[in-house]
Amino acid sequence: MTNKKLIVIFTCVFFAFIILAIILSNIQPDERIAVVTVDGKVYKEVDLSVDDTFVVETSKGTNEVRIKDNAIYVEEASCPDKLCVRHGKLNNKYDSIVCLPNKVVIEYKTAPDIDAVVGR
Amino acid sequence: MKLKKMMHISILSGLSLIIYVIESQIPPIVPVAGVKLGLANAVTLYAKVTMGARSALLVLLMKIFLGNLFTGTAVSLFYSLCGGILCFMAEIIMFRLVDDIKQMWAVSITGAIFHNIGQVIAATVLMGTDKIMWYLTVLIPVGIITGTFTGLVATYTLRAMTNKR
Repeated sequence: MTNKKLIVIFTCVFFAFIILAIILSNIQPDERIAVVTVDGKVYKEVDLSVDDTFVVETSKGTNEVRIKDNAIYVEEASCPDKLCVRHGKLNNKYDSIVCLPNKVVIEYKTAPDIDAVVGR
Repeated sequence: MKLKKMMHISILSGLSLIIYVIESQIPPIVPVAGVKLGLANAVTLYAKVTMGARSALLVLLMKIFLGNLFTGTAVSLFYSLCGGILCFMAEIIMFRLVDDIKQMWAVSITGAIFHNIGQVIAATVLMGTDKIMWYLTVLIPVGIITGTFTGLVATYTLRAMTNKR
């Protein structure tokens, strides 16, 4: 492969993914219900129209979650990297707040997909 | 001969280990898990060119196991292994596709992309959610930038080292 070909390929991939990221980040969920999962199991389902603060307690640590003005974010966490706190608000349908050390995932509720229906 | 090779492998392992440990101490610039420079990959690339694939794999595995022993946990070892091995395989294939060693940046970019894919797969398996796939739309462009940089580092190091001999 020549230099030119490689540059073209990688530039295309680069912009394709940036465009994809922009498109995906603009899709909003149908209903504003968030699901908090701990280690793959549903911990709590919350309606974002009601302001609330609660603490997710796991075997590894705690995450303080706050719901304010139709948005959900992690206020405080016991983990060392604090990536979930720095992530900020859940801002689109495919977004998720992840705390890897505590295995906590916060995401919007999605309609049950084909797999879930078949599994029933 | 064999001793010389062993020495080379251990020196390069040590080097990539130092880079890996120092890099993990730098706080993340963007709030997305998994975004980092991956400079240790330059050492792996250098090892592949100077000593062949088998030695490079040894350097890589040494870095992953010892690096996670020093800085990480058992879980992060799984992430590193998934990313590292997929990255290495992609790089070996890419080395055959490029026709000049100066195109190492392309090899490095491919490696960076597949390293991200491997880590996202590991996260999907561990967390039980496929929503993490969304991260790839951010991680791949970032990987292309950091991969170019790492590849250039490897190219220039190689050039400097071979000129000296």
